[in-house]
Amino acid sequence: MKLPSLILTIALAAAIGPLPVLAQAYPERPIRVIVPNEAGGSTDRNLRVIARYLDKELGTAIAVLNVPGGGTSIGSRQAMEAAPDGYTVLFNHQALLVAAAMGVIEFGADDVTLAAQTGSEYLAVVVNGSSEIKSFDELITAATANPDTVRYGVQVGAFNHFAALDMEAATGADFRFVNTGGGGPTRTALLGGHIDASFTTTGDIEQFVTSGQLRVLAVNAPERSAALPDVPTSSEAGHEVLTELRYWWWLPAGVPEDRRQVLTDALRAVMANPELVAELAALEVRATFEDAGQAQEAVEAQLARMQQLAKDEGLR
Amino acid sequence: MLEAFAHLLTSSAFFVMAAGVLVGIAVGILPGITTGMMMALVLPFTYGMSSTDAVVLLIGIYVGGVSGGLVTATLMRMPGEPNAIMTCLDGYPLAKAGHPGRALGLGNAGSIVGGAISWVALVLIAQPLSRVAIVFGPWEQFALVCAALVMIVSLSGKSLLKGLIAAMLGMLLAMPGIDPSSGLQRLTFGAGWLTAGLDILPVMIGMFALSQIIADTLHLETNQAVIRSSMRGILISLHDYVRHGRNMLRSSLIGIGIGILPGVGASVSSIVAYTTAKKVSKEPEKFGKGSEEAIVAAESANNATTGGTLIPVLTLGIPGGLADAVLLSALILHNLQPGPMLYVRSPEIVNTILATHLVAHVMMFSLMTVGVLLFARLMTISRAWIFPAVLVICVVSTFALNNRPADIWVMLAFGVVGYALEYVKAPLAPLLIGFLLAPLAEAQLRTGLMASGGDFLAIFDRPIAVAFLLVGIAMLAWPPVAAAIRRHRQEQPLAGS
Amino acid sequence: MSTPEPEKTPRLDLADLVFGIVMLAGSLVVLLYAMALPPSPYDPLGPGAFPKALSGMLAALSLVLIARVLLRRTVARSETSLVYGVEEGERVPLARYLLAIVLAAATVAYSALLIFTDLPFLLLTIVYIAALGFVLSGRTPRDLAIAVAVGIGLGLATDLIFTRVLLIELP
Repeated sequence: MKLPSLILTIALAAAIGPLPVLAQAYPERPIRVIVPNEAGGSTDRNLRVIARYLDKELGTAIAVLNVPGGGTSIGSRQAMEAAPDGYTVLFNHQALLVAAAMGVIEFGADDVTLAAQTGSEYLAVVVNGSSEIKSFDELITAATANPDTVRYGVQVGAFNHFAALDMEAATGADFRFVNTGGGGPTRTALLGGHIDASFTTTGDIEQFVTSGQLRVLAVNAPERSAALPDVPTSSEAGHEVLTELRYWWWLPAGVPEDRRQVLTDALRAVMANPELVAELAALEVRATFEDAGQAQEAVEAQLARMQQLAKDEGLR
Repeated sequence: MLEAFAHLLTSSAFFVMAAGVLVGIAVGILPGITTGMMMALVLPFTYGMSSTDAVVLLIGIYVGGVSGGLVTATLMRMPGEPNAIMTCLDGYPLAKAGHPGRALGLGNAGSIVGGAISWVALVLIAQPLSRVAIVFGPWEQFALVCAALVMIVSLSGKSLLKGLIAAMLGMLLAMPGIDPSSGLQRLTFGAGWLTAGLDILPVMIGMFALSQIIADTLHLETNQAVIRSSMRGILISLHDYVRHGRNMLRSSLIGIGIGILPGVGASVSSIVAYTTAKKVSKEPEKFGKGSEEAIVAAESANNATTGGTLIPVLTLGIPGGLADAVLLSALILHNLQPGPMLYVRSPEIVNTILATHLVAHVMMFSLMTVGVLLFARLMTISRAWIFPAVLVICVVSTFALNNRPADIWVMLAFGVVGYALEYVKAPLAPLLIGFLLAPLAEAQLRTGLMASGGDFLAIFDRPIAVAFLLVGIAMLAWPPVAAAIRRHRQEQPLAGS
Repeated sequence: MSTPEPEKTPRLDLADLVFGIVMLAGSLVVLLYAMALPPSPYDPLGPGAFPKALSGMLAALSLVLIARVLLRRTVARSETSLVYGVEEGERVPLARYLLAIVLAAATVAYSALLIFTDLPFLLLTIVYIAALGFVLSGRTPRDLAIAVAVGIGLGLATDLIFTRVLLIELP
């Protein structure tokens, strides 16, 4: 990625001529974006798609650095402790807030500077294709009438777990949580009937629905998913639940405000690019954008909510 | 399918695959750089390619990488890949005894047969086999891991006490970090970097490559002249294939079976195949001293695992390890979502993957056969120049794996730990087994308990799980029983005479 | 289970004794930490059960080892060692141990400089390979020339492969 875009940068610079010199020309060298997950995961995938547009917009190479481990805390900490010069950026979703709520990482407004929020996915609730549970309402009723019997697959202490706790709070259901890990293993457990229900992203579920192996009960979104047009939203199914996975761009605390603004503006521009919107849509990711101010409010509200959930559930 | 083969052999895809296999073998030979890491590094370059070329390149690396590990394992006693550890045990002694060509030849033959058998399974029975991955729930996997843990006894050999100590140490080393079943950090002693736990790669490189270099430094001259003898025997005879046929088949089936289960991988499959081969061998005493059976078993199994892991990747979209996750990601980025409908919607890409898997194995076999002559030259270079280069590669690639500086310190520390354990003659294989399997056993057991609401007896509702437990108990009980029978048989003719 | 011969050995095996004591001490520390781990709301074992059981077993096994050494019983040794070179009864000259220590120290220093300073990878690698190679070689003037050449050659090659081809961001 780096080399071709460098060449492109040089070509662009030659074509446009010298750019107006700002207070400090930023960016003047490649920016490294830390993904606190392994290569090949969905966070990594989403970032790499956006990065291909962002490097053109910023006129510099974007080097993606995968730093996995510790529930995203290792990579996040590495980014927070980097020099606040704007050349190290963190790309992460709610996993960071969850890690903070679980006490794995210290995280507050003093530790990071938020640049923007880009892209989000809504989660759907899914059961085995041969399950007796036919609708979202039946699932919630079963889990409310018989507490601690409906086995719900989550990764304990990760985002899908907190999302399920949130769903419990919204509907009054009481699930029996079973630790089945991330998306792939959880889906396998569902296929094998080792659990009764779980969350899923809408992108990779469609063909299991077509093959009849899985059944999607509801999408926890304001409107229906393009990939699953027949599946009702949760509010259509009678329960108001929103489960949204949001991706954020963070900088280490103390990055100069003008540099943060450059990044925010570049992200705003690329997220409006119809080509990128289409590419993300193919991955079932909505091309949302929030600037630093709006996003900061959401982050703070979500962090407080997750800390509350962790406390109520006795997780730590 | 034939079209896919024709396309692969006649178009530019052939060169893409050749490049992939070559890169894979190189990565396999270098200790520290793993196949999965290389595939992750190549991933960004595949965006610009056609979906066929992307898949062909990645599978080429995958196949080449799994096999390349055997070269360093045999000639330098350092596993180039984690899955080549068992090859070190017997490949090096055989090479040292003056048959490096033979040792590599056996390993190479095992690799291609293992690859070919797993290819047959991948083509013919991928769909039914993918059921296995689904049916195996937490209790089944827990029971399977328990049965596999019994291997510690067999791998400890005569030093059962030290073997058990090593195994317990290995299991404990896997505990720090975030407990996967509760999300809480444990045994991190306040160190932030330890929340990620100890990664297998730095531990392994330290313990096997670095400590090997330390040991070799003590014997620099003695080891200098070791492997200069002929490289004859690199192509083993038809008779050898027949003689090792049953072993190859058994080890390959083990490799495929373990490959299907997510999260276990080729390292474990080669260990299981090795111990099984030892158990059924007529000459178990030769294992660890240059046994041909051992090399064949380890190499057949780890290559067969490639076919095994592709089954859940293609049919269910479940990656078994980093290499599979990268392959999966490449497919998704080319708008090819793996899963039950992939075979229906994009049969051409499935056929390309299948064809590449086989052709890449054939190419790997040819390249390795030719390459061995080159490696032979390498071995005549003074180690004074080889060691610093290998150490640089170990340091850099340990870091590059996860971009975590702490991993370098872990690697260096385990170089010393590995040497110390070797000094007191504690066996390292049980440690490795414990390290790899304990987290699986714990996570699966606790997941089973969560599903059953804390009821341990729920395992008895799962017949497959019970069967595995019984197998484990039988394996534990068999050696003393067998010894008793042998004594009984020996006594009878004595009594008769 | 094989039953070791209850033979008496005249000498105290110091290496085994130290090994046993280190393992015992380590397992007790882990046990202490594991005791403090909280329970989990979802499973009866919690994060602490496995560390406690494992460290407990390791402590017990270490005690057995220590006892056997002190009672002068033989402790069987592994015959399938994965690292070659530590041979029974072989005399290794002191200079060789020194060499091994130099090698380890040089590698630690190289890693530390790589991680904690901004010195370029290329320079560090050339110096490291040349210096270590020279020490490991016959240390003749000819070796020095080779060491410098090999250092520059391999340094450039690894720098090219890692930072230019593989695009690894070095620390």
